[in-house]
Amino acid sequence: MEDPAAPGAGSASTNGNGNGGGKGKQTAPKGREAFRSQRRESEGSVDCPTLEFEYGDADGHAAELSELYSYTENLEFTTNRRCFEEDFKTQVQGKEWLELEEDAQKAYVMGLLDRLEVVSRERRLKVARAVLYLAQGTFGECDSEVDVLHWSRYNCFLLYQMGTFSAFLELLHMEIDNSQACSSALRKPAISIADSTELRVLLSVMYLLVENIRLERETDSCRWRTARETFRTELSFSMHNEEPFALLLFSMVTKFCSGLAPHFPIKKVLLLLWKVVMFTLGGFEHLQVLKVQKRAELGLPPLAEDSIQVVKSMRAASPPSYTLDLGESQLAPPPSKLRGRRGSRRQLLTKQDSLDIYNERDLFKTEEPATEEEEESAGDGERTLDGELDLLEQDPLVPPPPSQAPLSAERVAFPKGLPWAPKVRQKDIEHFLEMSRNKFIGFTLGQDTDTLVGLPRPIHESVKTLKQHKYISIADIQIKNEEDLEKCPMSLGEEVVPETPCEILYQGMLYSLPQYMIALLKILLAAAPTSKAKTDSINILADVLPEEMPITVLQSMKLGIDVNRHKEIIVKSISALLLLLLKHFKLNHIYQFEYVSQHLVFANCIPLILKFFNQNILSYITAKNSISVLDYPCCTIQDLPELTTESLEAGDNNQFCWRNLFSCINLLRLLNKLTKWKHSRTMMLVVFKSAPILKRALKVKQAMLQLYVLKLLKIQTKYLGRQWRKSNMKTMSAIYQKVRHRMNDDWAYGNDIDARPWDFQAEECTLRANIEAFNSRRYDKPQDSEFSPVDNCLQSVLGQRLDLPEDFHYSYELWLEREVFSQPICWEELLQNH
Amino acid sequence: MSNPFLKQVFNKDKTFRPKRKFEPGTQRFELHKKAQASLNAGLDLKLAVQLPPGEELSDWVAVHVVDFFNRVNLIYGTIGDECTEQSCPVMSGGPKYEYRWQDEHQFRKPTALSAPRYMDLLMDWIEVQINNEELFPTHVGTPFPKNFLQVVRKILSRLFRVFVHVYIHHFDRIAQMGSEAHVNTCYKHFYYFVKEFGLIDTKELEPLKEMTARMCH
Repeated sequence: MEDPAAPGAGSASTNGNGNGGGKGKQTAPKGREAFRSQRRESEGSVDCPTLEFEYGDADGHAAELSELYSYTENLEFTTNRRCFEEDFKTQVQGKEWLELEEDAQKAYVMGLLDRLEVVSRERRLKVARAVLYLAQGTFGECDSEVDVLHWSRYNCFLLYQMGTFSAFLELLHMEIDNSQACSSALRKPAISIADSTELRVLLSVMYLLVENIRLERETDSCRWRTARETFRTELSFSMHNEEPFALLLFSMVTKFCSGLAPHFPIKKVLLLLWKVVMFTLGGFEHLQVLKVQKRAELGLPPLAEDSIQVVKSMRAASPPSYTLDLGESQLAPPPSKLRGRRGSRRQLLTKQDSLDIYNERDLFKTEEPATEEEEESAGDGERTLDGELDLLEQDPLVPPPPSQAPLSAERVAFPKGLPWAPKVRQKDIEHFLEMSRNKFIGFTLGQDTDTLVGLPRPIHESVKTLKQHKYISIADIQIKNEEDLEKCPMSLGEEVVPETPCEILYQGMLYSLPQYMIALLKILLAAAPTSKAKTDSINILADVLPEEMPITVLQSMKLGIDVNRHKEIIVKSISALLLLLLKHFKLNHIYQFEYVSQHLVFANCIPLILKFFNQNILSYITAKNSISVLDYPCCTIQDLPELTTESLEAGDNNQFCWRNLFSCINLLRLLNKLTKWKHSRTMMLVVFKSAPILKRALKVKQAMLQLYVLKLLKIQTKYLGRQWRKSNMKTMSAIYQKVRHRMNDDWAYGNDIDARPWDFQAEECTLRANIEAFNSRRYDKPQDSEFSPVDNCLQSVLGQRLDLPEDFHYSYELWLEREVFSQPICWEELLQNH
Repeated sequence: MSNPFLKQVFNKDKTFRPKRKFEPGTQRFELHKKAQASLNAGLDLKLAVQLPPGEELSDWVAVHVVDFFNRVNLIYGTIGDECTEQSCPVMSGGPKYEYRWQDEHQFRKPTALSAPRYMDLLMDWIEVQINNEELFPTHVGTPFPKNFLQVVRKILSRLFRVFVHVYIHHFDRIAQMGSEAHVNTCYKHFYYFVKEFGLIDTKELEPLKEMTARMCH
């Protein structure tokens, strides 16, 4: 694999500094204090400082490692250490692990792996714990957190090179099928971490291997780099005729959700699954690289901008006012009223008379040197400022404007240009031309966008401008190709599908994909802070609850924090996993993406995410569900200070909770992915009254989160009605400034071209048919019988061997009666089919 | 009262009521008269509003009306948080002009209302007109009704009142947001359009006369 194509590269360069906790921790405590006092003053109000949050594939290295463990598990660090030291003493005398030569270390690991194959479960567990202690960084021999992280990484590479991963994979297979553990867990009234000891040790070792090896550092030796690539390949492709590792984890998730294995430590499974997918398929920056490559291969023009960079450079907007929040839900018209807006078909005219100059000219003119009139306007600002001052001095009777900020200061805040280049789809041009032709020449020419005969000059100009901004996506090409392959299967022959890790994963997931998606969403629902604990929902707390329930206030406070943290981490991993899957499948093939997203939609993903956001999102993002002294690696080297209820209440010094902000952005991106260009799904956003929910999320002053909220609002403004738009001009302006413009999109005016009756069923069915055609063409190879000659020789047909059940000759008369004689034979249909 | 002009002025049935006595204009109300900024759209708006050859007048007018309605609605929305029952208890255009609301339902007689209430009714009323398939047919080929231009005149006159109120009472806010160029351009476009087709009485244009003279040459 070439270097730029190495997946996961992004995670290292941006997040790989790994010294000490998450990024949030770098914020000066002073600012934090100021923030908190501010928050106290205006709880629930609009005030929220801009959040210095950097989005990425994952949090910092240490934070990602610490989230693997719940605080309940902390005692086990010592257990692991003891197991290791006992074993080590019997093998090596007079030396510590870190003092050994590399060869001696290798020899010891080899011995450990041998001892892992003993029959006795207890002894096996002890050895596995010893391995885990190595992977955790032999912290007993370290002085600082940096040391622990360093040796953890070193040991993990060593362990991997000695074949630890495959040994543990075998053990994991065994443990999954361990019916004794399953049945004992099923019988118990309350499951605790004690029920998943073995699985947790195995999964922890595997997670540490994946996470440590995934992380790229400049200083990594050549051997380590090779090891990383080997590991990546090993995880991506099926080794020894096995399925890819991610599939095993997916099947664990579904088994857990079905209730057959309630003791599975689901948080660890999900974390590992997410990291394996990220490691094998690549993170967001790698995705961008892949996209650029793929466009080049297809001969498409390069992208106008690097979206990751654009989003990074965006600034947060101050949130809209909330005085109008009340009664907002009444403002949105019920869907039944959403008939075609008047003037919609007049659209055609609006286009030709260039009434849209504001919308469109702005975009092109912003970069040009200031013209006479613009200079005038700049000068004018000063004059009005003077006028304002005069006014305040001379006329005290008139109430001064509420905003006391100097005008000039506020003006400066306006951006020079728009962040995104406008785009036009081929479909939009076709639609525009169809309208024009209908009006001026009285007939249409289908998809011909080149013939402009008989159309007036302004139309020519419009078409030219539209074509200048035409954007063809990879998906457009894929859909076109799919149509062609479907139409002429013989002449085009077999499609050559490159065996990328993504393709392999899809093939593996294909047949149980609906179950996987349902399972993930079920867990997400159970972990959402807004959902009440119901008896019928799945119990996701099995791997956080201690064997003995807390007695003191302090203990229960600690457990409370632990439980919330546990849920947050689950939400984080699922949201990131789903987003990553959707993005990769979309790039690999649009119908793979559509397949996954349709199942998410069918499993009610849209209302689920909206429900998630229907909480005080600001307090979710600033939640302090962590106890930093208990976090790995800190807890392994420091003597635990006395915990008090006060210190637990105080929480950490972070301005915000990285993982929660990350999850929120992921969920919003997910929602965008599902609804983009899907009329019926957009209407779901309207029907579920998402506008007030989303608007509240704008309180969080973080540019990326706001961008994805604004996108979701933009696609539904047409349906929210004029009143809503009028009373939400701040939001409307923010949309205008931050979201990409689509040239023929009248989102702000409500003249909806697509205002057709809303038929969810029909739209989804069409899409489903396309997906199914794709899946069966590409993945149902043996059923290609349509083009094989029909065997009509009586002898050979009767001579075929059919596998019949053993007892068939007892029941064949019944079968004959039911299946043959009682079924009317439609001869004509038979003829038509052949 | 035989003088037709006076009759018009004092007729209680009129919704447009120049006041007999008024305070001389304050600085605040005069603010908008300095308005000059405009977007340089690279085209002459005066030419842009002219009926293109081969185009049908009603079509041309209908499209503009819908468009102006949408844009004026947004313009009012930008200052909407400032225009409240308290700040503007009466819908007016400076001390000199007061607007009253009349419709076929609740307000059969011209009634003084607060500006936000007036705006709500005004916008709702226009929306109803525009959504009326008989007034604004949406299918190419369906003819416009005979009274089409009459209704359009009324719509545009009412839309103009929004401009008046925004310019005279809320121009400081517009300037503060830095959006006067946008509003001015929209106004100019609107003004050239109604002038080109004589769709608003000169009398109705009076409140912004001075500003218009500076802005639209």
